[in-house]
Amino acid sequence: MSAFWAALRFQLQLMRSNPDYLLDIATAPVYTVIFLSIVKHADRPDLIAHAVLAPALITLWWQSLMASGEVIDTDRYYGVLEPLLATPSSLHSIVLGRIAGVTLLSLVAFAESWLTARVLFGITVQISHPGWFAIALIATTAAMAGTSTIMAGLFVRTRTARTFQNSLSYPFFVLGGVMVPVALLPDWAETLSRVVFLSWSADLLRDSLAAAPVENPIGRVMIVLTLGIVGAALGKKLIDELLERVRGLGTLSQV
Amino acid sequence: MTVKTLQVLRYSIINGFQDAAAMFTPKTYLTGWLLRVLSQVTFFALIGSLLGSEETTHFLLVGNVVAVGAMVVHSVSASTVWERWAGTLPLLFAAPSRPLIVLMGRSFNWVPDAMFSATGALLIVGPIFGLPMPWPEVLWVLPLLLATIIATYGFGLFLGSMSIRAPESRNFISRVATTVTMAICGVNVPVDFFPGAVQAVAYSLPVTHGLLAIRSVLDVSSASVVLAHLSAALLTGAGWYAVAIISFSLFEARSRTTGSLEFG
Repeated sequence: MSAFWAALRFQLQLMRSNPDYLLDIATAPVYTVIFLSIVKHADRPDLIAHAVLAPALITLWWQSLMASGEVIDTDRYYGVLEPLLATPSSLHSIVLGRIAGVTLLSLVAFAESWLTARVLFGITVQISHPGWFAIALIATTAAMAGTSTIMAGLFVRTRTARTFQNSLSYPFFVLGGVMVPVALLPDWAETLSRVVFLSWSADLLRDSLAAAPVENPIGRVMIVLTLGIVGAALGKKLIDELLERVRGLGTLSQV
Repeated sequence: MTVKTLQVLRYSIINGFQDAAAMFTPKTYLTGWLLRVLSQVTFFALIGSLLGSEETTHFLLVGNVVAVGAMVVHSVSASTVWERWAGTLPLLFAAPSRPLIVLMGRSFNWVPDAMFSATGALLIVGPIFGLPMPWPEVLWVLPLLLATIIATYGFGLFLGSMSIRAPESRNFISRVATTVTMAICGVNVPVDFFPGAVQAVAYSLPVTHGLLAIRSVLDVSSASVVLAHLSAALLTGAGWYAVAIISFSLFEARSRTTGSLEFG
């Protein structure tokens, strides 16, 4: 566990020193202005919760997938990966600790969105079911960390993955229903969206803000967690396979 | 402009295109980048569907098509820094031609990229959401889009002149410029939704005027209205070209005086 916490602390220090890591956190208030101005201009106060949640979820997804995806790859670039593998600590603990650092920091966006709504638009978004909101947020954060390990594995395995790094945003914002619920998508897209944990998280978080009772919260939290665990397992498999191959061939720095 | 200057500009533009070709193959461009662009415009058009208004859907769609063009052009912020990272800046400063010419040309590849991305989004996402394209007025959309993108390139160059001073902030600068453009330049709500000071900032950017010109064409407004918006886009664009030239020149002069080209 000490490796996990050390990696988490290290990642937070690293992010403080590089403006690129803070890109998404810096733009979260601007996205809040964009979404809130759309719903305010359309005079749809019923959609304010959508507009405040969307930028936070966008930041969580974007920041986590981008920064976490690069964790192993940048270590390799700086020549740190080889000595890291030679230490007794498990690479998985370190990767998970660093990914947790990224994901935890991106939660700042939730506070930013709420604050932007309050300060610039004079809107206070009430959380009608704070307990379920907190549980949904924890499950979402865990699932995000799990899903991010897939990218950590993919980025280090194939150069092509990096080309698609920028493309992992809006297709998933549509399929994840971060602003527009996936129920409004065509049937084929809605079906596809159900394997993206974000679609379950976004619906659950929105429902926990609304006054109406949250339907089947336990079942939905379990689905978010399950999809996150599947992501983590897939990421672990990708990293394990890679390590086994390069250890056998002695080509770690050449992958 | 002398023949030699034009030649330097030409080689710089070719250099930029070579950079672009190293980043994407046609296949990865279409399946990666274009997919993202189409999803981005779809994402915002879907908000119109959520609001239950066809008019808003079309407003958001057109606005975000143009915003995509601006977003691509804002990449000048990053590609200007690539010149510094390649270690070629000291050599350019030592050469008889001005580095300013190279820096202004080496990012021009973003202009056709922006044009292709925005046009692709308009022609693919537009019909999906039933965007009316009045004939023959719609034919004016592409030249207006090109004019808007070329004018916005001036603003992009200004961003590049800022990022070359702070290379680590190159992505930060372009991302903030793009999201602020999306927020205040009439992309998602009319500019007059915002307070006067914000409107003043929005109207200082060519994308605001270019977008108004394109919306006017699609609304079948009179030619004089379209021309007025186009003129404003070109004028503000020219202003940003001038500001970028001054900014690059100041950077050049300061770097020569203080010897801080690789350090400042």
